[in-house]
Amino acid sequence: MKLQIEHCPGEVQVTVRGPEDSAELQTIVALLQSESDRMWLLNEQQETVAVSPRDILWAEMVEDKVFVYTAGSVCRAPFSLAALELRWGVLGLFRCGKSTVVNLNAVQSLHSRPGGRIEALLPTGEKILISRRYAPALREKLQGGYEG
Amino acid sequence: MKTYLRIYRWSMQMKLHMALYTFVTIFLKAVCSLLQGVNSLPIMDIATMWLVSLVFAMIESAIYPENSSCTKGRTLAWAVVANLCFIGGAWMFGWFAELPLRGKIILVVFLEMGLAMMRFGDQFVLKMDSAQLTKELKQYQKKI
Repeated sequence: MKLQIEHCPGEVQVTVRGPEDSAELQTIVALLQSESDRMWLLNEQQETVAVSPRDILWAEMVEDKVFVYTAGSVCRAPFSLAALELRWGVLGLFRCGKSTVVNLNAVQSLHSRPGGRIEALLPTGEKILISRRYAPALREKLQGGYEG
Repeated sequence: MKTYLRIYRWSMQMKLHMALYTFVTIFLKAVCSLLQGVNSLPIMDIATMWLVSLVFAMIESAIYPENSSCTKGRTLAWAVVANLCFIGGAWMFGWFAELPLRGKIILVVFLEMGLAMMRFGDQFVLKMDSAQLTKELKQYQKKI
């Protein structure tokens, strides 16, 4: 990737050039968008707060409600897990179970478990279990990122 | 409903192990019988082998509950119970009573080798896989 910076007066403008199907280009665009892209969530005090996707550790659905966990709080989200993964999947949000999404960028380490399952350790000490149904997709995702 | 699902999930995992242990035990009995020129297995032997395998699989799932880690204490307990169940079952029900002493010793060695291989899979293979997964994760995180 070539990085070219031009200093000139006026509004900051970012132009990203590359093939349409380039994964690297899509990642850069998503990163740029995420800086201004916030999730509006409801915290424990029932206040609306703006949360960056990068601050999310994991999310789960309980009784048709989506709860998003950050390092210091638990918030309720007005959208589904599928919407979470679809919109911010390129930033590392990965569906790891029927009702769980984990932020791969927040994972400290992965541990292989019997039965084809994988356990993800988060900085808070929590362990998220990636079910055997989603473990192959995780391996593929990581290997795709490793080879990329 | 949650309790039902938990029990169902437990039984799915437990019965796989039960089936494996039953198959191996019956297979060993069949081989020993064939070597002695016997072409059949007593129904009681098959039934007791299944029963002992079931009991051991249930105890095993208690030693290693869902999402538990493989500690040395658990491994030792599991090995002790395995020996008690299968050697004890063989002695109690006379599965291999007709075998000479050296044949029984070979079977015990085979049992210990089988147990060691199962634990090798859990202790080392899984650890190696974990290290590889974490390495790939770090590479992935650098790209994002």
